Amino acid sequence: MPRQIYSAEAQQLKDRTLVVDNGAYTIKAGFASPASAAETPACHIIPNCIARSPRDKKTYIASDLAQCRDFGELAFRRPMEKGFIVNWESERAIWEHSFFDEQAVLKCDPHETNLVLTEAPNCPLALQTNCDQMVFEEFEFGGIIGAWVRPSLNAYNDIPALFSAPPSLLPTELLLLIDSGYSHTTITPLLSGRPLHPAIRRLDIGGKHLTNYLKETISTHGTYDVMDETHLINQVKEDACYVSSSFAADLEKTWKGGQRDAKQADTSIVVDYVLPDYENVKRGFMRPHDPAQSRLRRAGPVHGPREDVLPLGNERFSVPELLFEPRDVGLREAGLPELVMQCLEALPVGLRPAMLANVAVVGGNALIKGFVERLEREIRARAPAEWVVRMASPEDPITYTWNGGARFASDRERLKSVVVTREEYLEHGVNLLRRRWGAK
Amino acid sequence: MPTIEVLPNTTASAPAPGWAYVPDTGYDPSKAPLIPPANRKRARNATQTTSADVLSARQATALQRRLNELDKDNHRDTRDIAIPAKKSSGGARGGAGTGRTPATKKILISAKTFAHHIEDEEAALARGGDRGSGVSTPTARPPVRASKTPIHRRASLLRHESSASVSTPTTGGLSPSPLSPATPGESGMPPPPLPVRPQVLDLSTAAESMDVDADPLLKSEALPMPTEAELEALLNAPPLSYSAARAGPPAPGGPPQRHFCEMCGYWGRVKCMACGTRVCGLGCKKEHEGSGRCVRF
Repeated sequence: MPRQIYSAEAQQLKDRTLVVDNGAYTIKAGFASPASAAETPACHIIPNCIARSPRDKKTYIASDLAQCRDFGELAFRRPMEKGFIVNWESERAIWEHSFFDEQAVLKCDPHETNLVLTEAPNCPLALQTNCDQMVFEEFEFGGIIGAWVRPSLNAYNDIPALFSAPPSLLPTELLLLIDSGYSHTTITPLLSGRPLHPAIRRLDIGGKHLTNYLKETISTHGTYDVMDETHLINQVKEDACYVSSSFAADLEKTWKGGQRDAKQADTSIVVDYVLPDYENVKRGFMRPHDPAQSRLRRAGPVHGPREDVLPLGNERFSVPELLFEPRDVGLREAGLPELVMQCLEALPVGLRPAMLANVAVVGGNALIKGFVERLEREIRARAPAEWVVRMASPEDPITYTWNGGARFASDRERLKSVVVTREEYLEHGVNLLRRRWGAK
Repeated sequence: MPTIEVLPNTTASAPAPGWAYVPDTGYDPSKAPLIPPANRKRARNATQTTSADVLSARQATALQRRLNELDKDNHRDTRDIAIPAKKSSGGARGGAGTGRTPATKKILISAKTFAHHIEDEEAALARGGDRGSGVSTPTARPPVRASKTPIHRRASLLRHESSASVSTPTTGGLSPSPLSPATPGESGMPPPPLPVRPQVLDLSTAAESMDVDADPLLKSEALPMPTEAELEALLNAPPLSYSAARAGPPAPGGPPQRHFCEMCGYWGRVKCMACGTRVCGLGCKKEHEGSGRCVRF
C-alpha cells in the first residue's frame, strides 16, 4: 500500500512555500526561502480576528486592525476556539484578505504554493479533516505539509543556542516544549522533532484567560468598568503584569492595611496606568504611583486636561499567577510546574532527566516578566536533586515556532518526503493525509 | 436527598444544533452513581477527598459559569459580527457564503462550536476506539491517562529510581550537551541500540533494588533507558483525545486552595455572613455590602 502512495506524482513539489503558524490570536505567516538564500525570511504577524468598532461603525479584517484609531469597546470575532479553527467562514475571510487579496503583502497563487500549516496538539479528527478539505478544495493549494502538531516545528530551530551550546544537527534530539499561547498552555516532549503523543499535556489557561481575569479584577476592585475593553486590558496586561517571585510577600506589600492601621502603598509595586482616550493619549502607559494625586482627584474635580488613571496594585502579579495556581479561579487543574512533572511521568524513566535538561518556553505568555525564572525555580524544587534543569526562552517567543517552520521548509528534500500534493489528495482523498503523517 | 435547582439558561449548556449517536447499551456500571447509597460512609472514607473538594451541584454550576466567562473572547455575545462583503478583488473566488465543493459548503455553513466537536469525539470514542469519523482503526486506544495517576503515589517511586542512580550521564558537569550519551537517537536516524534493561516495577524487584540503594558500592550507573522498540512504540502511539490530554488535578497533599478578598485582592480572611463572599477585613466588608454585590436570599 505505501508503495502506491509514493508514486511519481508525489515528487511534483511547487516552488514557493508559505509557512503559516495559525495562532488563535495572531497568524504568523511568511514565505520560506531556500537555505542558500542570504536574507532571512520575513515573518508577518497578522491579527486572526474580525473586529467591529461600535464607535466608528467599521469592521476591520485581520491586518486592517492597524488602521483602527479608536479601540474603545472593540468587539472581536475569532475563527478559532480553544486553539483550533472551528469557524471556517471567518477564517476564510481572513485568509483571503491576507494571502489572496490584490493588496496583500503575502499575496500568492495557491495553485503554485505549498502550505506548511500548524495545528495545536490533540485536535479532534473532524476538525483536522475539515482543515484538509478547506485547504485543498476551497483554497486549492498545490500541496500541504501540515496538520502537524505545532510544537514539533520548534525542534528545527537552533535550540542549543538558547542554552549557549554549540549547534547540533537538526532536528534537535530532545526537547520539552512549553507553548503558552492565547487559548491554552501545552507541554510537548519531542524526540528528534517527533512528538511523544501519550505524554502531551494541556493546561486550560492561556493569555485570553489572564486578560479576562484582569478585566474582572479591575472592574470589581476599582471604579472603572472595563468589561468591554478587551483590547485595552490586553495592553495593560502586556505592559504591567509580571510573575511574582514571592507571592505572599508582594501581596503583603500592596495591602492597603486594616481599618485602623492603614498602610502606605509600596510604590515599588503599585503603579499608575494612564488610560488612553484615543484623542490625546493614543496608547496607555505606566508611570510611578503618585498617592497625592489620586487623593486630590478623589477630593474634587481636576482642572486642566482630564486624564484617567488606573492604579494597579496586586492585580499586577495575581493575574499571571493563574498559570501556576489555576485553582485561584476554581479550575481544578495542576499548575504549570506540577503539570511538567505529570508529563514526565508519562515518559520512560530514562528520558526524564534528559527532557528536563532541555526545556524551551515559547508563546506570548513567555514574555511576561519573571515567568521563565519562576517556572524554572519551581520545577527545580520538584525534580530530584541529581537532575539538571535547564530552561530558556527565545528572544521572540511569538514567532519562534514560525521560524522553526521556515527552517524546516528551507530544505526541499525534507519537504519532498512529507508533502501531500493536490493531485495525490484528489486521487486518494482525505484519509491519505492521516496515513502519511502517521496520526491515527 | 434530591437536588432541586434552576438549570442555567446559557448557550453552553442549552441544547444546540448538531447531534451525535450515543450508544445505549443498557446498564453500564461505570455510569452508576459513584457512591452507592448503601455504603456511603465507606465510600467517603475510601477516597482521599477532603470536604473542600466536594462541590454541591450549585457550586459546580457557578464554577463552570465562571470558567466559561473567563474563556470568552468578548464580554458580550458577538456572534453576529458580519463578515464584510469583499471588494471584488481576486475574481477567481466564489461568492461570500458559498463553498466550491459540497464538502466545503458544508464546512462553511456549519454552526458547530468546539463543544459540539468534543461531544462528537467523545461519543465516537465511547462507540469504540476511533477518534471520530473518517479513518477506521480497529485497534482500541490504550487507556493512557496520566492525569488519573495521583502524583503522590508515583513520587516515592520516582525518587527511589533517581536515588538509585548516580546522575544522568552528562558530559560536562552543569550543562549537559544535547548530544550526551543519555540521549537516544541521532537526528533523523533510528535510535541506536541501547542496553536492554527490563523495566521493573513489581514489588519483589523493587524491594531487591532497595537493598542495592543501601550499599553505595552497588549503585547502578544510570537510569534504565527505554529500548529501541519501546521508543518506537512511544513515537507511533496515537494522539490522545482532547479531554484525555487535559491537566490532571493537583496532588492531594498540596497546599489548599487560596481565597482572596473580592474587594481589594488581599487574602480573603473572612466570609461575608450573608452571601459567603470572601473579604479581608471590616473595611472591605462595608464596601462589599455597599457595592450591591452582596445578594442576600
